[in-house]
Amino acid sequence: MPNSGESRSIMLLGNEAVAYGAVEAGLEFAAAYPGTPSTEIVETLFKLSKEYGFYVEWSTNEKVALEAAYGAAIGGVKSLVAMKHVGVNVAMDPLSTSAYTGVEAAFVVVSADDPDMWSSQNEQDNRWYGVRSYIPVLEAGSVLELKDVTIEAFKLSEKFKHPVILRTTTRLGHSRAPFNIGELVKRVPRGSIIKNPAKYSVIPAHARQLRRKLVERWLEIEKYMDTAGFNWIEGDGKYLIVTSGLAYGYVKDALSIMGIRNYKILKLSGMVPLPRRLVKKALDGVEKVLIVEELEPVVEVFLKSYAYDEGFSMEIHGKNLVPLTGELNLNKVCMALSKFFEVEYPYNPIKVNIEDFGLPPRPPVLCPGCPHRGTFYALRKAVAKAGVKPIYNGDIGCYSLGVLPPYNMQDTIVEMGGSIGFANGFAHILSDKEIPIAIIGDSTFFHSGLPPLVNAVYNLAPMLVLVMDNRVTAMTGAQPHPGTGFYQDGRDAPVIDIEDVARGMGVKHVIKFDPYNINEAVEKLTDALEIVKEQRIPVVAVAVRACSLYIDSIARRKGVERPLYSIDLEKCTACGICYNAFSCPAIVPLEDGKASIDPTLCVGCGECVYVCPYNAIHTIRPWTKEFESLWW
Amino acid sequence: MKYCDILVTGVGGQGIITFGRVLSSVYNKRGVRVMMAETHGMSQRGGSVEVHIRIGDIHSPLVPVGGADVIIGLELIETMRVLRYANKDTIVVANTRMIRPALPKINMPSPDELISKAESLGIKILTVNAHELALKAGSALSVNMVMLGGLVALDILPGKVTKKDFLDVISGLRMSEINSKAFEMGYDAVKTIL
Repeated sequence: MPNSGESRSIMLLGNEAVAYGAVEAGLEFAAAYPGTPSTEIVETLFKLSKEYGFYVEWSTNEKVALEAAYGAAIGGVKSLVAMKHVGVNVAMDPLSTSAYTGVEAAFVVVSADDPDMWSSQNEQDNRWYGVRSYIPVLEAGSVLELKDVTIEAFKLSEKFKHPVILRTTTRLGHSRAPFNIGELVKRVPRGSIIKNPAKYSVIPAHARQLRRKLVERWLEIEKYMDTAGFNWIEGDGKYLIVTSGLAYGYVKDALSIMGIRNYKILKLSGMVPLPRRLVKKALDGVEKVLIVEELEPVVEVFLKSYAYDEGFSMEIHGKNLVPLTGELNLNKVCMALSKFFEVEYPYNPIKVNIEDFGLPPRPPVLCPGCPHRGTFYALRKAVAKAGVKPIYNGDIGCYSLGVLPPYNMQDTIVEMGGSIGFANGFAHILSDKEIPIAIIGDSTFFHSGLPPLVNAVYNLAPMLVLVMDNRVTAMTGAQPHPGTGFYQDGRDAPVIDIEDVARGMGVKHVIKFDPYNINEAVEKLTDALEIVKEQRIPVVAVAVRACSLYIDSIARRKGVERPLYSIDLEKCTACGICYNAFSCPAIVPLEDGKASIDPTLCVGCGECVYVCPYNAIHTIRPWTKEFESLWW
Repeated sequence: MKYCDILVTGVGGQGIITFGRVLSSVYNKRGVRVMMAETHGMSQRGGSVEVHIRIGDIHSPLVPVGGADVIIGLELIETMRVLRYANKDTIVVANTRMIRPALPKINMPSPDELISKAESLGIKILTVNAHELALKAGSALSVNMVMLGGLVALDILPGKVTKKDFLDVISGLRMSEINSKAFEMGYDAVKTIL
C-alpha cells in the first residue's frame, strides 16, 4: 500500500496540512481574514503559534491582512496571508504591485478558491490573478501533495524574493488525507528596517524601472518552473494529458478505473507562468492533447499559444471536453477521457428521477436560538408599524440566510460591505416612504462597512443601517474581531465599540437593542425607521446578542445547564407562528399541527416566548446566573 | 486490494464528520491510504451534509455518481437525495428516521413510501431504526455510531478490518461508553437483517 512504511502518518484536513507545511517552511508571520474555505489554515496556525513562536493575527479584512504580511516580508520575515478567493479581490490593490517591488523574505498568498460555490457568491479562478499580476501560482496535484506544495511555495518565493500565490480549493482544503509531519522549529520573528525607496516606494520613476526588472524576473521564474520538482512528465505515448493542480488526482484515478494505458501526463502544480520548455518537451511526438483543468482555460490559452509558436499542429482539447463550470469530479474527468480515448464511460448509475420522491428541500437555516431570527422577526413588524416600503440590502454572513422563507428579507447580496454600499445608491433614487435597510454583521461592518457608512453620513443618504452584532465572525466558526473583546487564544483584547464608531463617524441617531427581547426590538426599530423617514438621514441600529451556536458550545464545554422551554398543549392553537413564521428549527409540528419543542435542539434562548400570541410557551428550566454569565 | 467508495449523508449536527473520522482513522492506523471529503461550508446550520470516504490506492476524494460501493444514510430524506451515487451493486443502509427541515409549511413524505420507491428502482436498501437504538444506547447523538456499526456488519470493507479496530478508535471519543454500545447495537441490527 502507498503508505506502508510511513508509520507516523496522521489524518489532517487539507487546510491543516497547509498550516503545517508553512511552519515546516519556517513561517514567522501570518495574517488573515476568515473565509470559507480558507479559515482552518490560520486557526491551525494559531494553535501551533503557541509552541513555535511565530506571529499570527486575524486582521480586519483581506487587504489589511495582505498588507501586514507583505510589510513583514519586506521587513525580512517569512510571511503568509490566507483568504478565500473573493477576499483576494479586496486585497488586489497591494497584491497587484507586490510583484513589482518583490520582498526580502518569502511571501506566500493563499487563495482558497471555491469551485461550485459551496459557500461563495462566485467561482472565480484566481490563477488569472497570477497571470495578470506576474505572480507565480502553485496548486497541489491532489490533497496528498498539499503540505509539500506549500513548502515549495515558500522555497520559490524565498529564492526569487517574489510573492507566490498558493491556490487551494474547497476540495483540497476540506478533504482529509494522511500526512507525515516534518521537523518544526521555533521561530520568533525579528525583522529589520528597510531603506530602499527605489524598490519599495513605487513612484512612477521607480515603477518604470521595477516593471522592466519584473519582466526579466518572470522569465527566470518560468525557467524554474521547467525543472521544479512539482512539475513533471510521466508515462509515454502518442496521447498527452496535461493536468493543472488537483486535476492530476482525478486523471490518475480515472485512467486507472478505465484501464487506459499508453498515455503521457504533463503534471503541472506550477502552471503560472506556464513552463515553456517543459511543455515543448511534453508535446514532442504527441498526436493529440487533452488539457484537464478545473474552471477556466488558463493552461489551455497559454499552451495553445506556445504550441503555435513552436510549430506544433496536433489536436489540442480542453474546455470542449472538460466543463467550464463547477468543480471537477471523477464523472466529468472520466467522461472527457472516454471521448478523448474513445473508450467506454465506466459508471452506470441507477436512473433516479429525484422529483418523483417529493423530497422537501433542506437549505442551511438560522440555528436554534440565533439572535438574527428575532431581529428579522422584529424588523418585519417594525417596517409594518412605521408604514415604510423597504429594500433590504443584505450582506455576507449568517444573516444572508434571511433571503430564505419565511423571512425573505435580503433583496440584494453581492459582496462584503455591499449592504451599506448599495443603500448609498437606493437612498437617492427612491420616494420618501421607500427606505433602504442595510443589513450587515459585526465582523463585516469592521471589514468593509466603515467607508460606505461615512459616505452615507457625508452625502445625507437616508437609510437604516442595521448591524446584527453577534459578537463573533459566526459564519466561519466564531472567530474574534475588533468588537469581540478577546483574541483567538482567549486573551483579553481592546474592544472597538460599534455604537461609538458610528457616533464618531457622525451618525446622529444610534440605537441598540437585544433581539431576544422582541417587543423592545420592534419598538426601537420602529422609532429608527420613523427618524429615517422624517429626517432623511442615516440611522444606525445595533442588535446585540452573541451567536447562540457559540454560546451553546461554551455551555456544553463548561457543563452549564441550558434553560429549557416547553409547549403547553392546552393553550397551543396549532397556529404555526412559532414553526412557520418564526421558523425555529427546535420547534416542530405534531401531527395535529400543535407545536412541540425538541429538547435536544433547544438552546434555551426563550425568543419563542415573545412570539407565541397565546402564551402557550412556558419555562421548564429558567435562565440561571451561570448561563447568563456566558453572554457578553 | 480493491478500493472502496463510501458515501455518508445526513443533516448537519448528526455527527457525520465524526463517522468519517473514525472510519478513516482505522485505515490510517493500518497504513492504508484513505481520503475523506467534507461538505461542511454551511452544514452546521442544519443543511444537508455529504461525507465521501475513499479507501485504497486513490488520488482524489470524491465518490463518483454511480460509483458508491456503500451509501450510509443517517437521515432518510437525505439518503434518498443521494441515490444518484448508487449502481446496481451498491448497498444502501438507511436510518428510517426523518428530520423535518426548518422551513415553513413543509410537506413531509412517508418513510415507507420513500423506501419502496427506492426499492422499485432496483436499489438494495437495508433499514435500521438508528434513532431508537441510539436512545437505547444512552444518547440520541450516537446515531452516527449505530450506523457505523451497521457499515462494519456488512463485511464489505477492504483490508480485513475488525470490530475491535473500530472500538479502539471509538474508545478515544467523548461519551465512549455510549458510543461503543451504539456501535455494537448497529452492528447486531444489520447482522440480523443481512
